[in-house]
Amino acid sequence: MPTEYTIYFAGELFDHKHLLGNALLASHIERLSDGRYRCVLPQDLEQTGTRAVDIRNQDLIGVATCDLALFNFDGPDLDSGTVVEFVYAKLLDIPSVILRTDFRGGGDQDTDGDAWNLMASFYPRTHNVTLNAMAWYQEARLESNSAEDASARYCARIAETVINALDAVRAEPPKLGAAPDGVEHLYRWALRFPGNGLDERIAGGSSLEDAVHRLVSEKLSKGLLG
Amino acid sequence: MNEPYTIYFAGQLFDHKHLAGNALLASHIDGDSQGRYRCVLPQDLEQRGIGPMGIRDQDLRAVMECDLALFNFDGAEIPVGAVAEYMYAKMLDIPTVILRTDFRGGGDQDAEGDPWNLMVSFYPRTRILHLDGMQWYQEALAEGGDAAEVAARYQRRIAAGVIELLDEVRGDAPIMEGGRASAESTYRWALRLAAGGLAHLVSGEGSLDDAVSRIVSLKIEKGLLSEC
Repeated sequence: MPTEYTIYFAGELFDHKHLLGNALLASHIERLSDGRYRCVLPQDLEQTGTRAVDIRNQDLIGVATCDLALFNFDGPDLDSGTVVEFVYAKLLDIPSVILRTDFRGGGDQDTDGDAWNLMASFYPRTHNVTLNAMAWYQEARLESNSAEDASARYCARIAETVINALDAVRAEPPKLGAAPDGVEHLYRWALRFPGNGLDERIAGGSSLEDAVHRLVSEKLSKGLLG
Repeated sequence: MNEPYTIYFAGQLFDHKHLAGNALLASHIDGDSQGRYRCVLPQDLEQRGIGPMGIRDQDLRAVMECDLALFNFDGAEIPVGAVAEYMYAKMLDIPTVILRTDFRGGGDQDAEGDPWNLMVSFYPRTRILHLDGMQWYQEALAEGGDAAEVAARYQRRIAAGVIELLDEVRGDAPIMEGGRASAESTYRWALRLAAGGLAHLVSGEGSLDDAVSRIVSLKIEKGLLSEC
């Protein structure tokens, strides 16, 4: 049985297309990776009746506790919630894949640059997957007899590309491990600075020190931190 | 006279309205705070020939070196560059004011919540000034004068609100514990995690440790970080 890595699956989750698209792609990533990757979708975490601050804390904990992260950078302008999670993941030295399927231009970089704001570019231990969603969709449609078949074919192709990028970024050595400073110190700070109950929530009944030690130990055992 | 506190002035800077609006508001904050504050505008930093990564590095350095930060969270969707800088500032425990003058709704929170994505809310050592840009403009207009007089009256009123909150948030105790050693450790990692040329840009020909020590020392002297 291969080691299972959890993937924080970040992106827009505001309408029926986002929600279904996320669920289908995550499902294909899990199936086609033969159990290597398990996606954690914020949309599948409890939200009904939950206060906004609790949703924020739940999602930041989701980022911190996952092994890797996948960021869907679609839209003419990126979703700001996803950008918060991306910067937070980079603070925690989490290997990340950025997926852009949107064929529209965007951002403030030159034609060879990323199609989004330059402040969200150039971070290490991050692989970009950029594809033309419309072109890939049309190709899948031509090879299929129904929308369901086309959708499955389409998602499978995107998932395979994402899995390859996840495999590649997972092989990169940690950046944080190379620093002389304590990894646990920085993880504790990452759980303290957002305030409003985040540290208490992750600690549960135990201390923050114990919770961070467990979290970091698990990542160390998987070779994700140095 | 004490040195002014530097304010990183983040927000949209993509068209003539953004650029002129930022410059005017910053000028009023500088002028009306009696030398207490000096705004650092990313749009005023050199941009020619350094490429997108150079611009990113330059802006992240400015966020780190500034004493406080002002984030203009305007737009139907708030600008993602400012959001990235905001997270960076919060990681560095920088006292922060968020200014929203946009009267449109937005975000995913309930009616009492902030009009932007909930992931950007609830961070400590942060104050929010939320005003109706149109209403304040109309009020300034009703007092008469030409466009320049109206603009000055309008921006002076916004600047007064911002200065009041800068004064207030500056009085908040640092969140970061562990004193100088903890701050230097966090600041060093903040320079490394972004990679690119950021660490070199900050350290210049000297060592990164020395550069970080200087930045942290200045903030400790001003009471913005704790010595122990």
